[in-house]
Amino acid sequence: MTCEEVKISLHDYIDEHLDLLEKKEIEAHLRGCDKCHNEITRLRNYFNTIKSIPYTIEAPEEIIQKFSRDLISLSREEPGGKNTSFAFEDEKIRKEQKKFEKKLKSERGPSRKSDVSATIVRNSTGGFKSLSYIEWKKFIIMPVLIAAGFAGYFIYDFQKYNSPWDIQLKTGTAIVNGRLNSTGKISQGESLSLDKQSVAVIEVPNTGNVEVNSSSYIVLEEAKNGANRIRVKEGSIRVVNSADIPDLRITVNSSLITDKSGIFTVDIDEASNAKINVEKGYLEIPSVRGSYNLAAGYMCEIKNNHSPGTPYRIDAADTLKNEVDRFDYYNGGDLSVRNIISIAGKKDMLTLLAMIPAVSQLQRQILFQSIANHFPPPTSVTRLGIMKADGEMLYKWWEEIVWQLQ
Amino acid sequence: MKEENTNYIKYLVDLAQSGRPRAFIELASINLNNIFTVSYRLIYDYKIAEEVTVKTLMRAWETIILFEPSDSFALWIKNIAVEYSVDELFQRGSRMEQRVRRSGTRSDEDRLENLILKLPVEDRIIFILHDLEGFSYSEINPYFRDMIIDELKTIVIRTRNYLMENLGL
Repeated sequence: MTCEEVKISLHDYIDEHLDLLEKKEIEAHLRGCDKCHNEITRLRNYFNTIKSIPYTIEAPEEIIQKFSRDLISLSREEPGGKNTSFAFEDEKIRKEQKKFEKKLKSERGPSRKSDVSATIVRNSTGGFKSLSYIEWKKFIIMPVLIAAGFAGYFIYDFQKYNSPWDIQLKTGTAIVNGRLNSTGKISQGESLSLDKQSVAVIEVPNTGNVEVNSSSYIVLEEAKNGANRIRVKEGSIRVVNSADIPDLRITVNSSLITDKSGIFTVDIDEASNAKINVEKGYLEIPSVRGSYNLAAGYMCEIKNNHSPGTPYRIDAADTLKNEVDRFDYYNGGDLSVRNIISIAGKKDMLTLLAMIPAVSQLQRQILFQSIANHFPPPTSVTRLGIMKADGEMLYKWWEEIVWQLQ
Repeated sequence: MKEENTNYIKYLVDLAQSGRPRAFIELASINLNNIFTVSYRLIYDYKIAEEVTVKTLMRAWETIILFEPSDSFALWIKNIAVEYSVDELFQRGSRMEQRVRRSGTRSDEDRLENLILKLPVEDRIIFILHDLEGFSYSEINPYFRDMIIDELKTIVIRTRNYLMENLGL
């Protein structure tokens, strides 16, 4: 190594950015070169001087006092917001009150209790006598109206049930609720089991068909307009929509997938790990960080006892898929984010977008920039909004990318 | 810049994420000096650093639900402070150079601080984040999207050389 080369690398050396071999080369040079040795001594002196700056500066105490006041008053104002602390405290107070009342009751004894009840009855009787004609009418009509309302709701709700659904057997035999099925129907709450030779198609009202493949086991959890729901427990299904606005949700492990349109498959392996693969249209996938959309050509995994993982392209590189897996299930953290960014191509930007709510602010900025390099955010999407992982903005950007990728 | 959360921090984060303000206040107290320090070093104005610290804490409270517990809380909240401070600096940066100390004290610390204050805004931010706060180049990069890592490195080296020369090293 020449002195010039060493001079260039000295800062990397002192910052510990060099690999072992480069480090050894520099050290070997420094041992034999006074000029470069003086330079590294100069740099070390510089760092010693830098250390003279205090590590932390004492913050004024008023900051935390003011912040505490603001935060607590804000929390009290938030309707149904982050006021659980006070809800918790209220709950504690209620419990204390109950304890106190119980104690009081036991101290008063049964006779005291009956006296109190009698007073209430006496007062009530007096009250009945003093009711006017209009009040009487209200008194009788109100319960009737309430009962009629309930009855109407139950009738309306009952009409939504669309069970049973038709089953069309392609090959083999269908076992519904453990029995050989001869009716060609499946009702709410019933299961459908197919052996290795059997394939069936279920017609979902207002939606389309669900092809249930061999060695599969599904349950019709709910057969009701607006809430049709199938649970896939084993094997695989393929959903083919014929409606623009489908009415079907699929339960996989503990996740509820909403069919938005198109064609998709759900495969569950022996370890109960599921793979959702979208051929056309898109799905809404729930996640601990808010739901995301799974577009055509993308897939995601839902490992047993886990929430859905990050979506990736069906034909993405294996290195990317492995890194996404590490990110989702093996605490890949910031390193995984960096690796995914470096592997991802233009078509993988929906993967990066779906990662935003799950990473730190700093990583969000990196992801934002990486995506924006390929797909500048639409006008209604701001950097700050993405930094806050605003669901609406993420969705708008997702729509824009999907549209451009088409 | 790797920092781990202690069990106590994890516990407080968990409570704060479930909406307990008092747990968050405790987290804020623990990290207050670090937040204030980075804000003050970048902005070099006691009052504005105070404002930035309060804004940082409020923003952290609003977004605590998005914090990934496996990440370092100290680093996460510090990043918010840096983000606000950098925004503030770019808005007021041109006036910062006038804050150079005029006092007669000539300790190494004072001289160094004066030299740092004389740096151009971008150079100062990069230098402070890298050499004083321990951020890596890839962690600084998002604040300077138009620069590549090598440019950041060049700025740090140039700043070091400038400081060494002026400190008589």
